[in-house]
Amino acid sequence: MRTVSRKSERLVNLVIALLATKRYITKSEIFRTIEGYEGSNESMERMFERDKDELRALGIEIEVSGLDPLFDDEVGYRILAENFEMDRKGFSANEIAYMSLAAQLWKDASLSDVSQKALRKLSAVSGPADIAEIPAFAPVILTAPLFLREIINGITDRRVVEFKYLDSEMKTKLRKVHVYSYFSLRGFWYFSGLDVDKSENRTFRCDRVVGELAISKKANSYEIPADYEPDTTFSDISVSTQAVLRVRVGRGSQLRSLASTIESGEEFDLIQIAYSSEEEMISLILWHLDDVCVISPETLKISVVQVLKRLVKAHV
Amino acid sequence: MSRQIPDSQVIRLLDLVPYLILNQGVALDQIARDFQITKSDVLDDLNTLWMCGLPGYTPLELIDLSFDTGFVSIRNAEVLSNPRKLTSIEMGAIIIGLCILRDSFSAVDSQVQGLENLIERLSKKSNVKAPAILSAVVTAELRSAVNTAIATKKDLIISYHSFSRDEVSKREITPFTIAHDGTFEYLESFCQLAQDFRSFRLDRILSAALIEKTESQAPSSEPKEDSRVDVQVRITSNSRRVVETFHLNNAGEIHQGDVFNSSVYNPEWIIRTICSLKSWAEVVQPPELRSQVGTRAQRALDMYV
Repeated sequence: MRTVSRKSERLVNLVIALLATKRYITKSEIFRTIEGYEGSNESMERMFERDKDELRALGIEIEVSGLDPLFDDEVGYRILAENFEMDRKGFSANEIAYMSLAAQLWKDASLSDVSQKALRKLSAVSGPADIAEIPAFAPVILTAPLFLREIINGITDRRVVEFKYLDSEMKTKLRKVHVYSYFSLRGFWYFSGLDVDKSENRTFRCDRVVGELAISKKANSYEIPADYEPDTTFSDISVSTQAVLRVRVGRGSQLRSLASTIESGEEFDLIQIAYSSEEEMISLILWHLDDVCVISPETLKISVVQVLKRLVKAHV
Repeated sequence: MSRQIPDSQVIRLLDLVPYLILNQGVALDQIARDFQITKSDVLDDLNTLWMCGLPGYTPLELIDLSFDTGFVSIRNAEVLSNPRKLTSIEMGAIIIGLCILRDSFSAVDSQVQGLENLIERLSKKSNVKAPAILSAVVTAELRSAVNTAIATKKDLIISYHSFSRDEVSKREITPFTIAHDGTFEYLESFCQLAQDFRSFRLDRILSAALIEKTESQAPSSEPKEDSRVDVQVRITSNSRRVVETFHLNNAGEIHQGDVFNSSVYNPEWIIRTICSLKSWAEVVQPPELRSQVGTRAQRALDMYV
């Protein structure tokens, strides 16, 4: 445990020194003055390189100077306060309070741990606020996937995400995606962007991702098109067909609610319904069994009859 | 549904300093709770921090901590006194939360514009995108009532807006499951009013209340438990819809020809579900149910002769 702490100690000391300095400090100054750098020059160099990488991986930006080829000055380093600290001046007390409330919504949901950290930081800059009461419970958050953080990281740093996805034929294929956008619709979370292997924009439903979602180490590996809008309709509404169905009186409330016209009859009503997906229409008709009968179009009728014949054959 | 990713100690130490400055005299237990770590981790952190400071590392430059009484105070840590900036994931969580808050106000509310403005500023500054859409068509109260009813096998009283008849009816229903057709969510139920199976569009249920069954009634031999039917279903065609309809978790490992077991609330539901799944799945067991599917499909087929 103590060795881990020694390293943490050195890293914290490095951060403090780089943050406190008003000018860039050189490697030799760092080795001379910062506690924890010891051994040969070579091993200190290696140690410093690793420390620098580690701090950057933790999201701490280290500025580098002296890269001017005309001067062979030694390279210098520093951390700018504005890149390290939270900007407290940019926000009103009410805004900070709203941000805290927003973080609190994640209680028990997929981003609750990061929200907890955000809250801790916000509490250090919050002041008295006067904001409206809001509902403390947000169902949309409860269905958020665990890998939402990878999605957000992917979009923010433009890292490629990789995951296994269950297609409609139940095959899982490895997908590589440049994520452009994410959203939640009717209880499901989605992300969309460029499917690298297909070279086409696609939308993925989060619960159809099988297992983990991995994100590439390399950042800035793609651009998000400025005019990108995710397709959130999932169907081609421009192509719609009219079906005429006989529906038993008092039955088929779901079909009736979709109907454009209903003509009452004695045992059966005649309803007209517009649909864009034949797949879904067939399923809906079959759900109602002998309460519904397709009159037209012929193709729909044939499909339904075929399925029914197969069902009968399969269940003798 | 929460996942804990252990922070590196460095991040924790950097976050601990502004926290301690803000909460002078805070108890060790409280720190452990706030940082979700053990008390011995807290002590280890404080002992490490104790050795940190500005180059020189004389008492004048080191962070001055006192915690031997069980309460922590800190001095001489000005360099780290401000909280670190939010990470992109923290920002993401806040932006999504703000979008939800914005949507919870009515459109005319003056707060909406302020929040919209804040979301835009945060997003621009941090490069973290806001979700393109966030829609929760169903209120939290309704979803919670429905979920409770399904989980505890209780009935619901709902008021339902039937669009075709343009009327609101009060119904007593036994809900089984929430189905999803890609566009809307439906509550598959048995409706006492209609004495038949009905699917209710979740977004058209105006209100739902649980009916508390009185325990004082004659002791029944767990009727709800008995009414469940164990079925065996064979997947006859690789279709994701089968997997999603039956909430099969091992989606990646299930294939055409496989048989799975499912416990369904009511035979009527399984008959209709199997039929609506076209011929992607068939009932294997029990035999009565299997032949019922055949009979019902035949009856539907008779409509076309």
